[in-house]
Amino acid sequence: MMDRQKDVARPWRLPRRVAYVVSHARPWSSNGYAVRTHAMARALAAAGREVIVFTRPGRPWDIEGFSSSTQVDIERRIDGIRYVCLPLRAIPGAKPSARLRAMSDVLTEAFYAFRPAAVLAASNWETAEPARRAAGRMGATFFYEQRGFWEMGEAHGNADDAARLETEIALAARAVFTLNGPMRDELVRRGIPKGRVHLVPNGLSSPGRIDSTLGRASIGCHSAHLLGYIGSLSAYEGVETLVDLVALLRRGGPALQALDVDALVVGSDAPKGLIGTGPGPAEKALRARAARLGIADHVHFVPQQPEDVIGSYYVLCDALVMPRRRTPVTELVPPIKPYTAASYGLPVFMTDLPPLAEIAAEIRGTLFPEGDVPALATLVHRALTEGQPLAMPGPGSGLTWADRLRPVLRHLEDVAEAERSRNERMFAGLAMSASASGEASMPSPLQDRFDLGILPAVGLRGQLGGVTEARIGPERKVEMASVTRLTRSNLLDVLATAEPGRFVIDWAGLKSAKGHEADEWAGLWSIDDMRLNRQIMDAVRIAMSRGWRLQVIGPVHRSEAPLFRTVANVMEEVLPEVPLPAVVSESLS
Amino acid sequence: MKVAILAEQNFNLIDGSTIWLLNVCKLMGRLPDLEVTLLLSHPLIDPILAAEVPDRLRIVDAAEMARTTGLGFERLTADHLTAILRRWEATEGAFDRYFVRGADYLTVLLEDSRFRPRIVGYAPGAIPDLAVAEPDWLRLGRAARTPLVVQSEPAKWAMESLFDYPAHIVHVVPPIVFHDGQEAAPERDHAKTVLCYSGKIDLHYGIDWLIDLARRVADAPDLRISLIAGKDTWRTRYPEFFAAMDAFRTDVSEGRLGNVDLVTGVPHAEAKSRMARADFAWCLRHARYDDVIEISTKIVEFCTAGVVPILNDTALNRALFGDDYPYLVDIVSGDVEARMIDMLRSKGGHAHRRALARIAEVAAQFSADRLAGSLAAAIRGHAGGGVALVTQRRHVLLATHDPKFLRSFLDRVRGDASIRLEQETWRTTTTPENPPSVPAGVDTVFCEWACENAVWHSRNKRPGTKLVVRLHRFEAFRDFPKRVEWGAVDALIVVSDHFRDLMVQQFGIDPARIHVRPQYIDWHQLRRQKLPGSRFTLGLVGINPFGHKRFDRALDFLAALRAQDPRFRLVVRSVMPWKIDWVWNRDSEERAKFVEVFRRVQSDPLLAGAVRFDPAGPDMEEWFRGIGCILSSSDSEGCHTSVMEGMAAGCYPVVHDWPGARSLFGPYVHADMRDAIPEVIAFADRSDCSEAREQISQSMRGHDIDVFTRSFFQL
Repeated sequence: MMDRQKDVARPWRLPRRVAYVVSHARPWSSNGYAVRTHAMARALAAAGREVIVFTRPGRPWDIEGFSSSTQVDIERRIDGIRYVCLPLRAIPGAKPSARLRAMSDVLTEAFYAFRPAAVLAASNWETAEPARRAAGRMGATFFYEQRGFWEMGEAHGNADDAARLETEIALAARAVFTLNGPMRDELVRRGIPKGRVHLVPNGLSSPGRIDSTLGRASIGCHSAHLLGYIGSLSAYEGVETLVDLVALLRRGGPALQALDVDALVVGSDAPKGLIGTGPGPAEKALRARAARLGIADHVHFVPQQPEDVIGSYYVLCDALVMPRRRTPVTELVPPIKPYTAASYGLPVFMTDLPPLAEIAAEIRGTLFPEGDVPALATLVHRALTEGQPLAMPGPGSGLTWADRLRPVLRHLEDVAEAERSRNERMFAGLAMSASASGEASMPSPLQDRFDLGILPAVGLRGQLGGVTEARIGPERKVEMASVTRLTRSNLLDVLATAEPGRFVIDWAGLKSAKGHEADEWAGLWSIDDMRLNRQIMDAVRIAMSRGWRLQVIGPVHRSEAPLFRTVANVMEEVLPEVPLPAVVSESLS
Repeated sequence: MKVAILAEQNFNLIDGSTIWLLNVCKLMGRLPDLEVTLLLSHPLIDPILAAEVPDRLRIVDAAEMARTTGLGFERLTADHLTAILRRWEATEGAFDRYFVRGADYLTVLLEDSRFRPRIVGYAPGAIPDLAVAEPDWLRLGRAARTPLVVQSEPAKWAMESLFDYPAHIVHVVPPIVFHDGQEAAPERDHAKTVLCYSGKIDLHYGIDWLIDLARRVADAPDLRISLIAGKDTWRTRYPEFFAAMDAFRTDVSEGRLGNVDLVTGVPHAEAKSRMARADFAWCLRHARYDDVIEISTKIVEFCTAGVVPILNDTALNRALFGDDYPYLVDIVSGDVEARMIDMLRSKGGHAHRRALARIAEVAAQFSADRLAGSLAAAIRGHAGGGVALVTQRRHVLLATHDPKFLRSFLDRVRGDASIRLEQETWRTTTTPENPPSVPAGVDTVFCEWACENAVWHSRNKRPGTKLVVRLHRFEAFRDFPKRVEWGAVDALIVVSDHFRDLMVQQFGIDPARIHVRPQYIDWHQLRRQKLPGSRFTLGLVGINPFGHKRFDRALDFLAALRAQDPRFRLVVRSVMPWKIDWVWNRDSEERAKFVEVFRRVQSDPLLAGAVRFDPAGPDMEEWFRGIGCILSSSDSEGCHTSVMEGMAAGCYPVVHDWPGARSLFGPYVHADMRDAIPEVIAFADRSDCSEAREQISQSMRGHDIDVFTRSFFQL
C-alpha cells in the first residue's frame, strides 16, 4: 500500500490543520501531560487552527491497567477539541522496530484521511518517531514538543539509545518547542541548533467548573486549614513531606504555634495518569506514614480525578504544596500544577529546584529547601495565619496559553502560508486545464489518471539507480541516473517543477572549479552578492516546501561563506569523500 | 526636533554595546538642530559612562522616570514600556523621534500606532535564517517603513535583498570612535613589542590561545602582553577554560609571568590609554564568529589609536582591510600562537609600516563628522544635510488618490520643520473620501495625478493660493484634462517633452507654466559597485501589460545580439502576467501573446538558457549591480523610471523610440533596437567601462529626489 502512496504526487493538505500527536490524553488520563495537551489544543483552536489530537496508535488500550472491557469511542470532542484514538492490531512477539513501523502506517493512513499541513508531536520518541515518519510520507511539516527527558529515569544502555533517538527526532523537526530554560540548554547541549528551539512554558488555564456541593466536610475535613497536593504520587514528587508537614504543624514546636490543619492528596501512581484505578502502593505507604505519625484522620485521599472536576478540589484548599525531590529529571522538567493552582488564586509552596524557581518567579510562589520540613512549616504557618489573599494573575500577565503559544503560531502561520501557495499552484493548474479544454466539471478519474506506479522506473525508483538529483556545481563522477545541472536561469523552475529528490550544492566542487560554472556562482554566500544569496534562499524555500532533501557538500568554512548561515540550519552538510547515501526508502526496504 | 535615545543596555556596565550607546550620544551632541534625551533602561548607579555624555544631552534614568510618572518600576521592561513612555510624554512633552536599540523594545513600540511613525530602529547583525521565523520587529518595521540604522554596507544590502527592506530607509552608521585630538601621542617602548587584548573574558574571543601564547613567550625579553579584562562570560558553561584562566591570573599576580600585565575593570579612559600604548591588538575570535558581518567597535578603536589589529581571515576583514593586509590569521589551519609570535616580531618592518598606513585609512572612514551626518539622515528622515527646503514657512495640501510615486518626496518634506503638509485623500480618480476643500492657511495645493482632484481644485481655487498639478501618463488620454480650468493652474508638471507638447496642442496651456520633470530617482542609493557578471547581462524591468512593454521586442533584440555574441544574457524582473488579474483575464488575445512569448523563451535555440526571471521585489538598487545594460522595449511610457534608475546605476541603455523617449534618452533611442547591437558589444568590451558607466550615471544626477523636491518648492 505504501509504495503506491509514495509514488503518486504528495497529496493536498489543509493549510490550517494541525495533527497533534501525543502519548496519552483525556478523557482516559488526567495527569499534567494530558492537561498540557488539552490546554495547548484549546489555545491553538482559539488562535484559528484546526487541531485534531491523535493519541499514539494503540492508546488507551495498551496503557498498563486499562480495563479491556472499557468502551472506547475512537473519536470524541472535549471542549470543542477533536480527539482521535487509533487502534493498533496486536503483533504477538513483534520486535520494537516492527511495532514502530505498524504505528507509522496507522498514522500515515490517518493523515491521508485528515490531511494536516503540520504535525506537532509531543514527547517521547516512541510517540514522535511514528508521527515524524508519517508526516514525512505525506509531506506535512513536522514539529516536536520536547516535554521531558523520560529516558533519564531508565537504565544506562536504554537511556543512551533513547537519548540518541530523541536527538534525531528533534533534529528532524522544523522547530522544537520545550518548556523552560534548563530544558532548552539540555537540547542545545545535545546538538540542536539554538535558533530552532523555542520556549513554550506551561500557562495559566481558565478556571474550570466548580461543584458547589463538594465541601471540605464531604472529604472528611473539619479543621480550620487545608493544604493540598494534587498530582501523581510518583516517588520523585516527595508527597511524604506534606504528611510530615501536617504532623509538625499540628504538633507545633518551640517557635511554632500548633495549627489546626489537614492535608488533601488527590491523585494516584497509576501509569499515564490513568483514571479509575484503585489505591496503589504509593497511597498505601502515605496512609501508613500518616497513621504512624498519628494524623491518619487529618490526611484525606481522593483518587485520580477527571480534569473537568479537578477545579472543585483546588478551591477547597488554602495552599498547594509541591515538595518535589531533586532528581536529574526534576532539575530540568517543570510541572503544570502550580499554574493551575495560580489560576485559582492559590498560594503555592515548592521545593527550590531550577524549574520550580522559574515558575515561582512568575506566579509569586514560595520556595523552600528540599525536604526541609521545619523551614516549610514556618513559611506555611505564616501564610495561613497572616497571609494576604493572592491576586490572581490575569490575561495581561503574559502567562496565558495564548501568550505562551506565540512561537508555535508563528511557525504554523509560515506552514499555512506555504501550503496555501502550494495549493494555489496545484488547483490553479487543475482549473486552467479544465477551462482550456472547455470542461467545467472535473474529468473522470478513469480518463484523467494514469497509474505511474506500473512503470518500472517509477515503481522501482531507488532500486534501479538512485533518485533525481538537482545540483549546483561542477560535474562529478556519480552513479546517479538523472542529474539536472542547475544554472541561475533554471534554478527555481527545476526545484519547483521536477520530481523532488535531492538538491545538492557542491560547495567544495565550486571552490575548485574554474570557468563559466564557477563564475556564475562566484558570489555564493559572500557579502558581495546579496541577490545571489536571495536566489539561493528562495531556491531552498521552494525545495523545502516540496520535500527535496537538501545537501551541501562541504566543508563550508564560515569565514569564506558568511551568508551560508541563511540556509545552514536547514541543509545537511556532507563531506565529498563520503559517498552520498541514497535517500532512505522505508517503503521498499 | 526632540529626539529620545532608548536602548535595552545597562549603562552602568562597560561593554561593546554600552560604548556604542555612549558614542551615539556623542554623535548626537554634534547635531545642533536636535534636542536629545537619553532614556536609560536601568537606574543609573555607576556614572562611569554617563559622565562622558555631552552636556547638551539630558539623561533620564529609570528611577527618574518612575518618580516623574508615579509608576512603580525598577527597570524599563518591554512589557510596560509604552505605558511608561505615554505617561512620561504626558508630563514632559512628546518626542518627535525615538532612536531604539533592542528587539523587544522595537517590537512593542512598533506594535503601538502612537509610537510607530516616530521610531528609528537600530538593527545589529540581522541576517535571516530559514530555520527561524522572521523577528516580529522586522516584520512590523518593514510594513511601517520604519527607518533602520545598521553598522555596515553588507548589513544594509542584506536588509534590502534578504528582508525586502526599502533601501532609502536603511542607513549605515558604522561603530564610532572619538578622537578628541587632545590626547598626546602615546609613548611606546621601541625595544619591546606589546600585544594588547581589551574586552570580556570570553572563551570564544580566543582567550585560550592568548593564555597559551603568554606562557610560550614568558621568557622572551622583547615581548609583552597587556590584558585589559572586562567581565567573565559563560563561567558555568566553560568550567575548564575558566579553571585555566584562574590559574593564569594567579600566575600573573604572583609574578610568575613577568611580561604579562593584567588589569580588570579599569575606567574607560584608562583602558583607552593602555590600549594606545600597545603595538598590536589581539582581535582574534573562534570560528563561531567567522560569519559575523559587523565590524566591532574595538577594532575601530584600536585602528584609531594607531594599534595594528591582528584579525581573523574573514570576508568582512578582507573587505575592510584589503586582501593584502599582513595580519590576517587563518585560525582553521596552522599553529595560531606560532603565527602570532612571527607577527609580533615583524614590528618596524615593511609589513608593519604598511599595516599602520592601512589602519589610518580605516580609521578615517569612521570620522565623527561623516558618521554624524549619516546618523542625522536616519533620524531626520532625509540626507538634506540639514539645509532647509524653503526660506519661509509653507503649508501644502496634497490631493491625490494614490501617492505611491511620492513616497520619498513625502518622507523628505515631513523631515522639514518649516513645511506643514496636509493630505486630501481621494478614494478613486473620481471620488473624494470627504468633500474637498482648501483649509485656511494653505498656500499651495498639489494635485498628484491630473484626475478629478485637479478638476475640482482648478474650479475651486482660493485666491492667494498656488495650484500645482502633476500629470503622469494615463490621465492624458482620459477626459479629465478637458475639464480642468487650466487658467487656474499655476504649474503643470509633466514627465517628458512629449506630454508638454501634447498638453500645449490640445488645451492651449501656456508652455511657460509647464515644467518637464521626469519621475525622480534616488540617485545616490543606486550608485553601487557592479558585480563581475554584469558586463554581459541585459536587464528588463516589467513586462505588463503586453501591449505597452513589448517583451517580444526585447527578446528579438536578445536573439539578434546573441547571434553575434553568445556571451550576453537577459534577466527579467517583473511580476508574472498571470498574477495580475486585469492583464491575464481581461483579454484572451493578450494572454495568447504572453504564452507564445514564454514558449519562445524555452524553444528558440538563440534564447534557451539565456533568460532568467527574477521574482519582483523592492531591492532594485542591489539588482542593478548585476545588470550591465538596461532595455526599454516599450511602445508607450511616461518616462520609464526603471531606465533612469538603471542609468544612475551605470547601465548602458537601449531604448525603443516610444513617444517622449528622445527627449529623455536622446543618444540611446533607436527606431529599431537592433541597431544598437554594435554599440552594446563595444561598450561591454571597453577597457574603460567603469569610467563610461560613471558618465552615464552622472547624466541622471539632475533627477535625484533632492533636486526634484527643492525645485518643487520654487515652482
